[in-house]
Amino acid sequence: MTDNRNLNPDEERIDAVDHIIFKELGEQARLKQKMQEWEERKRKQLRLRLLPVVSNIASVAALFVMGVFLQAMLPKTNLSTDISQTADSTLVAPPSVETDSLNIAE
Amino acid sequence: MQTWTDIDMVNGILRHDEKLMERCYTDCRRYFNQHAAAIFVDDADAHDIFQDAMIHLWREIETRRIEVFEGRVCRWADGQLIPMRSSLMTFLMAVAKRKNWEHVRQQQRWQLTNNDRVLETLDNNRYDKQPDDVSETELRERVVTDAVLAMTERCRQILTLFYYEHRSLDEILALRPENNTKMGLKTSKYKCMQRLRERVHQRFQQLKISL
Repeated sequence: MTDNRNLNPDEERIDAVDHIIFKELGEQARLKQKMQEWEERKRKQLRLRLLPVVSNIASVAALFVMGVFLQAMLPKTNLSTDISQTADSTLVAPPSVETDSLNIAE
Repeated sequence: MQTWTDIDMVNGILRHDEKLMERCYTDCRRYFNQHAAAIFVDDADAHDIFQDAMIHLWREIETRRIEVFEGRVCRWADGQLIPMRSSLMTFLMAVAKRKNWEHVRQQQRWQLTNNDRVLETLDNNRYDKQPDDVSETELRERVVTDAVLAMTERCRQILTLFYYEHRSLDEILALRPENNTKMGLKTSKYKCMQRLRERVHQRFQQLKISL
């Protein structure tokens, strides 16, 4: 039980009922304080529980960003040019071949 | 999941079992959050209303207005110990609902129409017939508990800061920007205390309680 006999120096006259009122104010304030402590503890527990999840998400996100970054850094244009060049060279037959084959037929 | 019974809660509060009290608080909070959206418009107020309702329930138990008798949770009403028909959680929700109505009425001056059966026995006629085994000291404390619980949040805050935390008027002024001047705050504090004293004295006279 909280005893509140120490009066605020700013206060004026008090009567017998006031002591019971102060005590009750103290009781209710004490309960409210306890509830705040529990709320705070609950928040801390939640934070601790969420921390591994958040760090996992963060590492996955970091890997993703790194992947995107590496993809952007790769010499993409050169590679595609090389491929197209290769493709062009295979698709287009040299004119000399056709001429040669015609000659053979003749 | 709730791992305690109403009887556990009453006994736990009476023997100041903090672990159990915290568990009850957390479970009640979760239950309240699940149903709050249907009752409360403003989310910020809902938190304060829940805590006020919880204090109300605790004080009812601590001052033995709710107690365990012959294995059942009972409540003093009209001078008799009556087994409660609702669970403590339902009782808590009813108190919260009523506090919400009072809050809304204060803010918008709406007419309070209390038709909640759980609270039928609350307030005015509660002490008209004094139970034999309740001492005058206990009865006096109950009257004060009720009067303090019935105060507005603003008044309770000012009086608690001043009388319980022993803050100076300047400090309270810094904590409560709603009060513009020191003189205004001093008047508010005086009026709140006067109203509280009057209410308590009036009730003491009605119940013929000596000072």
